[in-house]
Amino acid sequence: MNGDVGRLFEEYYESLVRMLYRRTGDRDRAEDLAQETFARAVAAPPRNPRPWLFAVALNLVREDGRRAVRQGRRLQLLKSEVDVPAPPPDEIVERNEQTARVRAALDQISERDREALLLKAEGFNYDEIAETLGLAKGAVGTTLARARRRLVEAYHDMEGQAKHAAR
Amino acid sequence: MPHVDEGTLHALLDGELAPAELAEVRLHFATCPSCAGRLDEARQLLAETERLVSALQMPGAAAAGAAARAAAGRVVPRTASPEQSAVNVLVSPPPPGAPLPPLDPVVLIPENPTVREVRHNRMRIMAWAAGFLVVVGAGYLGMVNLPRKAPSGDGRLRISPDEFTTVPATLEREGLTRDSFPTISLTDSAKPGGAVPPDADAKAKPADANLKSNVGAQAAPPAAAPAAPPAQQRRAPTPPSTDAPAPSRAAETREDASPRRAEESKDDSPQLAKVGPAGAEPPAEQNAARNTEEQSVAREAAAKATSDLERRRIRERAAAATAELDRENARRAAERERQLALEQARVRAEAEPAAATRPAAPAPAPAAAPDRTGLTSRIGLDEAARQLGGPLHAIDGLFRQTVGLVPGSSVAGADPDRDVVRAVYVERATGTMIFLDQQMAQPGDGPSTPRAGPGGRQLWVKDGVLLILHGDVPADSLRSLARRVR
Repeated sequence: MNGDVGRLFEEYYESLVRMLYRRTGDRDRAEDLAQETFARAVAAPPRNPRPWLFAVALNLVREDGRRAVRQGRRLQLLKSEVDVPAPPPDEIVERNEQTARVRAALDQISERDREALLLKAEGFNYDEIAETLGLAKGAVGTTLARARRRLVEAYHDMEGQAKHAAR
Repeated sequence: MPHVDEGTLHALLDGELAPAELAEVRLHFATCPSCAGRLDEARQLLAETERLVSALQMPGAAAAGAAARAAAGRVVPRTASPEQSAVNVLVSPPPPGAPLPPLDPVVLIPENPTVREVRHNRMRIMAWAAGFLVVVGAGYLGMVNLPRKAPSGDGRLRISPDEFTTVPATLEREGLTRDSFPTISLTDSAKPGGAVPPDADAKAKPADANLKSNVGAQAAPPAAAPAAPPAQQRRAPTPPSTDAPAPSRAAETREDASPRRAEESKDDSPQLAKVGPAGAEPPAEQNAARNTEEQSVAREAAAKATSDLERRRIRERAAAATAELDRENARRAAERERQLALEQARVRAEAEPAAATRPAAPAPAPAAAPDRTGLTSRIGLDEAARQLGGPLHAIDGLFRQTVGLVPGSSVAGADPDRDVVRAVYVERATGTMIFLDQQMAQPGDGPSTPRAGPGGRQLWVKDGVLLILHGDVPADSLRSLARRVR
């Protein structure tokens, strides 16, 4: 069992943290939630791990898993992260603005649409998205189409508002 | 076919359409430019979405790379030490050829109690332990302080006869025993619930002390108890009442046990009346309920004391009766033994003259046998066969009692330098003994058939063994027995 969970950790931790960061916008929280998710996987090894892990992680996000994480089920990364060269300041500002708009656009769409988008961005197929979110497989395409359209529309709206404000 | 819906378009772009459905959609696109245009829009929408979502990169650590190598880090709990963890998972390095560099072991520790939980558990355990110690301590102190009873709420110290084991010398001089005191109440003359006055000890003597026997008060009619002032109830020595059987028995028992104490109790009552100051007593209406309860408690205590006393006396009487019975039985047994001895002596005296006239009976064979066999040692059949160089000879039809060795010098006709094997036969009825002496024969020892030898004995050689048959029987009997030797 431990070996299985370790394999899951190697295979899905990166994707899970990334999805959680996109969902929450808080890297620490994303890592905490991911570790809490794997902790639960240790206690109850899942049969279909990928949808299970992401479903648990999204549930933790919904039920404010940070509180549960603070109560002890947390892990800490001791090894220093890989140092990445810092981008130029202008690029940082521009990237931060884009990121803020995307996050704001994401916050404007529905919870289900947002989660479907994030799961699809992590390479989930329709079956896995349906299992993770509890949807019918036939509804996944429609959900994703709606989520994409709304996200792009919301982003363009914010971009327009930002240009208008800049003028 | 109707137009392709948006969900199908996105499924097509996501590669989620089944082959049959895909073929059908492609066929439709060939005939429907509108849907083909919508497909291009969907493709752009999908690309734009992917661009936006991928813009959400974790800062600093280059999310993907950092997270990918996060697994390469050693993971330990933040809030608890590894020793507190409930589950440890050791992750093996990835298989060779994996894109990522070899990973260090990763330890997952999901079940870590928080500091608050640990503290809460400890406090709970300590609370249980403290409660247990309080209970045990209270019980111990109660046992230790049992003889020293604290005064009750009415300022009285209740003492049961079971709570003291010795009688003060001053009381013993007056002929009082422990059984003379059922339940004694020591009244605090200062104030209700107050401390015992300094002279309380000085007044503790039965004659003039502050002692009150509840028996008298308990014997009062219960109906009159609530109305009468407590002091008067204690002062008035009323006769035993049938409504209060236990105190009545207590009074009677006390009188039986110590008539002198009974008289003294009557004499003490007026004096006891002087002891309790009227001012120290609470008002009658306030004390009515208390007195009733007090009498009930005293009555129960007296009944218990009386019951204990009765049981003790019954045990003593039983023990005394048993001891007397044992002595009587012993005396009767001794008397029977003495009469039996006298009877036996008389019988022996009568039998002795008759026995003197009778010929002496032959001594019992077993008692005489060891002396007459002449054996120096007893041997088994194997040893006898070794001595004789063959099996031991026996007299047919007779019961052999024992086999042993005798010196050859003691057997006439035998080689005096060698031991003789002797088989001893005894006739049980008369104790007659017959010996069949046997010795390995030497050339020229004797005839092959029995011949009469010295003393009427029969002597012959058989199977290389010299046989000598003799005993307490006539010679002709020996001759006939010799023919039965096998």
